[in-house]
Amino acid sequence: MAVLRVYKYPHSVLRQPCLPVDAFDDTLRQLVADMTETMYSFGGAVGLAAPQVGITQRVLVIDMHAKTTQDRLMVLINPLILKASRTKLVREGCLSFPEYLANVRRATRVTVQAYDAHGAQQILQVDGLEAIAVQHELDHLDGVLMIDRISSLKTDWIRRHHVPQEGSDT
Amino acid sequence: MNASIASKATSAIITGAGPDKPGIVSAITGVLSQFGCNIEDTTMTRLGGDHQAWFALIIRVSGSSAWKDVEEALLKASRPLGMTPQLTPLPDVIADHCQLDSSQAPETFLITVAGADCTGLTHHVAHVLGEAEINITDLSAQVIAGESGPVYLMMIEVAKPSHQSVSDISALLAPIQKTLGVEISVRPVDVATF
Repeated sequence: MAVLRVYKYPHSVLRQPCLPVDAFDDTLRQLVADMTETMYSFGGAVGLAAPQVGITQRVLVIDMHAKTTQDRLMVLINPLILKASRTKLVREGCLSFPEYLANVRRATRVTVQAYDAHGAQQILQVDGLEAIAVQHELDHLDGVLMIDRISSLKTDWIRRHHVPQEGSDT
Repeated sequence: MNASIASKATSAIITGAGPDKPGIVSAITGVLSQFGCNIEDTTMTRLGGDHQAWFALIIRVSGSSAWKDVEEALLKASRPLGMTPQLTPLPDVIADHCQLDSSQAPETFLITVAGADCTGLTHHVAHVLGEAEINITDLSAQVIAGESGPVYLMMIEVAKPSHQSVSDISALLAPIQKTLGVEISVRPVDVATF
């Protein structure tokens, strides 16, 4: 496994819509393993999408380990939101904008269909922070970023006091 | 201050900027309260980063006719804090002219511009919008940290024009996007009333 470089805005790879995965092979599983290690290397990070590490494929990993006592690694390949609940305003961060937070409207509960790294289809119902993470990472797969989701620099864009660093604990 | 206008005006605009420090808002609003002024609209914000930040304010007030006295009191209260506010009385005819046309739908488009900072970027965008008679109602900008250097991020709210769509405005701004290498997006601001 390897910790990969995380690309930051305005790198062009972050704007490219990602292609669906069609080969559930060892190369894909290696990418998933590397993305997971990269996510864990930033102690406060709870999700990572493939374009953030320069790969334009529809792959994302999520683990709420840093925010809850839950420890569930979610590997979502070719994810698709089937159903979304009402929205609320949430404050989120992104490793591709490490110095900022944004107030964004997200559904509080989503039903998502995806494949695992072996090609098995799964349908998951997630809520709370997991639901927010799924929507944030899925945006990355479409080339959509936090700055596209805010309505005001004055009210929705906040400078972070604590910038996430690779190898940090929080 | 034009004495004739000042004596007739029912509202005024106060502008000011100075080094950011605690007490500025208290000093200004204390004077306005003392003169019975009503704050109709205001923007007060800190400009710049954490170091050497400046605090700027724009206030539209009404409720007094002694604008010269208000201005003198504002200067007296805020000079010790490093700010020298100016007060401009608004003749009623101008105040009326500034009223929104109620026949226009209060819809808004949001234009986001992001890219490497370059001299005149704001003017380039504002010029295109002005030529097309598109009215800017709010503009804010920040320099943010990017992958390989600072990125200029600007958000402009414009009143929805009667004859131009989102794609029309995108097309107007496309040459700037191309020549200056910046990202420009235009989208309607969704307003949901519950």
